[in-house]
Amino acid sequence: MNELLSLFGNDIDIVISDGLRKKLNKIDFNKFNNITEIEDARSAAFNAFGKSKIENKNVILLIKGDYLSNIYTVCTEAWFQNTNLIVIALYTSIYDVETHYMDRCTVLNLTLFENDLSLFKTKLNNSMVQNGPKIINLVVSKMIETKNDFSKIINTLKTYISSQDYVYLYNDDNKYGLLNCEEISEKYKYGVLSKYLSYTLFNNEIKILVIDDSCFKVDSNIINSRYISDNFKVIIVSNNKDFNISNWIKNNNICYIEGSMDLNKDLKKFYESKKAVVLVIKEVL
Amino acid sequence: MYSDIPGVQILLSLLKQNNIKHLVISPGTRNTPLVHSAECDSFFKCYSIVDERSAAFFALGLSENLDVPVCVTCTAATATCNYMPAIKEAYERNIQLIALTADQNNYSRFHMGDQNINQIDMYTRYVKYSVDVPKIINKDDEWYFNRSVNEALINLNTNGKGPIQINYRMDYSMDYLSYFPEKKLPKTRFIKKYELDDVNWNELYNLIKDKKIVIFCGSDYYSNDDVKKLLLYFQKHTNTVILGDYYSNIIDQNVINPSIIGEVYKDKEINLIKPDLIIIIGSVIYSPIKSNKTLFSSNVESWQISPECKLNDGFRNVKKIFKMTSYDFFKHINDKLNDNDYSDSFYKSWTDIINLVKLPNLKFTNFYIILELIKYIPKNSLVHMSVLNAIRLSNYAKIDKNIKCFANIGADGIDGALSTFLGQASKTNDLCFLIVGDLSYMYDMNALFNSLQSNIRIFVINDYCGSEFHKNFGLLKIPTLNKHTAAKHSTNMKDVSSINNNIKYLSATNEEEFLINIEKFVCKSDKAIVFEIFTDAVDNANKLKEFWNINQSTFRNFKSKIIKKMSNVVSSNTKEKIKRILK
Repeated sequence: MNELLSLFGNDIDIVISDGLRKKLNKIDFNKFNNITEIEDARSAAFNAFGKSKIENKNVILLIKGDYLSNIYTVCTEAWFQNTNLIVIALYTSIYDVETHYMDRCTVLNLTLFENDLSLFKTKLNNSMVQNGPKIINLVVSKMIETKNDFSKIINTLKTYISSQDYVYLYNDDNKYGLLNCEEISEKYKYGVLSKYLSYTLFNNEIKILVIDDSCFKVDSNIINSRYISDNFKVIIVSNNKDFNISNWIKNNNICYIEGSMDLNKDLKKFYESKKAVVLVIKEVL
Repeated sequence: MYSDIPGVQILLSLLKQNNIKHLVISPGTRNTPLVHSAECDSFFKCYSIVDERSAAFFALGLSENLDVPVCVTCTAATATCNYMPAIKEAYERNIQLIALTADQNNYSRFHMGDQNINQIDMYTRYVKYSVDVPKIINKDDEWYFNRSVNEALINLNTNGKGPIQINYRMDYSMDYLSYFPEKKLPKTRFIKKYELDDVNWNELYNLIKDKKIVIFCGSDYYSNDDVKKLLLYFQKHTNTVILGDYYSNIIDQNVINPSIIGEVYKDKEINLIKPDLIIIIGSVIYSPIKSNKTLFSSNVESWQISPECKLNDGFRNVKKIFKMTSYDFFKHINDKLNDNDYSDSFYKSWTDIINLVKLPNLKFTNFYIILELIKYIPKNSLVHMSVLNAIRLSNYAKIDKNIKCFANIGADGIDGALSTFLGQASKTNDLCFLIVGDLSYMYDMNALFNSLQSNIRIFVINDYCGSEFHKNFGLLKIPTLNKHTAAKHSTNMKDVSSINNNIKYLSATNEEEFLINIEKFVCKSDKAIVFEIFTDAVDNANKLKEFWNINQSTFRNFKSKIIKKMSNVVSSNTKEKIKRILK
């Protein structure tokens, strides 16, 4: 990976999506002068596309291979405009590299192993001559994967919820002794809120979604939907002091609860809310 | 004698014009029209090898030995699968192999169709280009067939050499497959590729001399004015009109943005402004005038300049494609031009037509506010227009030549305008403006979770739905339009924008508020600014339609006025001639 990035020089613009920077501890990103981090892969890719377009030069997007389909639209636009967006999609297994659909909107779609890079240097250099979006699928030995730990929240919430209630946890595989508790894995990070919204339709079971802000930030616009019902109950955990969605949430006719020091009280209010509710809890992860 | 199957004729004609003469043939029924036509033509050198796998390797060897493209042809179904080993090797070793795979009727595939497998793109990833061309039934099929085969043959040796596949339908009766009535092979359109070293610039100069030329500038961005200077020089030494919407970033008083007449004079032939030659540069052309087929397609020839050699045959008449930059093309051709060749007659005809355009009283609509906003945008700013009305109406305005303009007009989607804009804005300290509608802004609001620079100005026109659909259909035709098609909502962008702490918010619901706040909006600020304008979707749609209606009738009156004026002073013959010009 270091070798691949070094081919482009330290002044290359790099846009990193999905918090990948933290997952790649072997990479010395500090040596690169132009790094932007954007959570939503689609937004990150459009941002990189915009940078490339205005500067007429290569811009790298670093993305987790699992999320590559989110940038289909950007590659399509970049293909039309012959823009030099270079997507480096990262995988830990060759079996996950399934990117044939991208052939139609890229001028290069190449798969490399981390240690084989020198074998591909010539091919890569030849392909770089042609304008247009390029994808390099890079199989790396390791990415640091961390799980969410919502134990404090769920163990407190258990005081209120009944055995019929459903709880969906993003990227936390603990069942907490609950009958209806389901993990939504990080692989399916995109569209969690949208899917959950449709789970809340058609019946009156209580369904609670617990996510972190990274998951929220890639699917936020669904909050503007007209389908938010009184069944909508979402807990968002954030470590970011700038994460401020209160006005917007309230003006969408959703009850907004800002987490206080008293988690028990907040969760009681959250659970007992008769209308759509969002509870934002800061710094408990 | 040749087959009269149009596809076969086009294929053979293009092979000949590309000087591709070696044809390795495996026996079969579906390729018989091609095979017999070729073997009767002394140009082709035919070889017979039964096993398709051997045939393809034989062809590979020929191509390698002679360093020329070589064709292999076989019948439909499993025969084509046997080409795969040689195709794969040709791809890996950059050898020019052309697989001409005859095919059956798609509709009966897997439904009792004999010898019928899926041959479309069957060598995927191991061919440089693959086309599936239809049975020719109408003019559209014929154009598509011709264009696709040209495109495939261009790709055979562009950006490196390698194999291609041309899959063509041969689901005709046995009688027709063995019918060879044509004595002469009709010549079809050949798109010739030129690289910098291949061009005879004197010859090209002779081809442009005395022609009425339109240069269509597609979306592009040049970091300096060199290309613009070369284009203007070319114009000053020829009879040329340069057409460019703002995304070409070639904005100048001598460059015409034709967008404003695009939807007014649609599908009408206007001989006064009809070119003899079109030169296309840049990537995507936005202006709707491009769809005026009668103006740009019949009896006109296009040349395309594309460093990527990516064919854009929208006018259906490209004859030459130049694999080079616009800078290189115009630098070389300009050296051949003479001052004596200059005429402004064609340019004047275009400006006369453009000057006929009148604006109605715009009231407080999106039309009005976009035109007004653009007057206030400071020089050297960057403007990104999102989609539909933001793009359309901005192109009706007069934009200063020092403003840089962008829009995602490639696929022209609603998504990603905000993110793209933020990426662009991050690369400059100049003020950057996004003109965006409510739906597009909300669509991409995830981008607002990131830090925003203070040079960012977002101009959101909120009419609480997609007003485009009120223009396209309207409540009279679809009373429930707002429910789903226009996606009516009640969200204010003030709330949406509140998720970012670094945004100042302004709004206007009428002209007075607009004029007060616009000054603040275009000034320097310590924070990014969102300026939300509330308009009515139905008013917006009606105003745009009113504008088009007024100008369509203006144009009709323009023609009849001229005809009336001349009726007393010219002979009836001359009168008829002028009528034809004004048609």
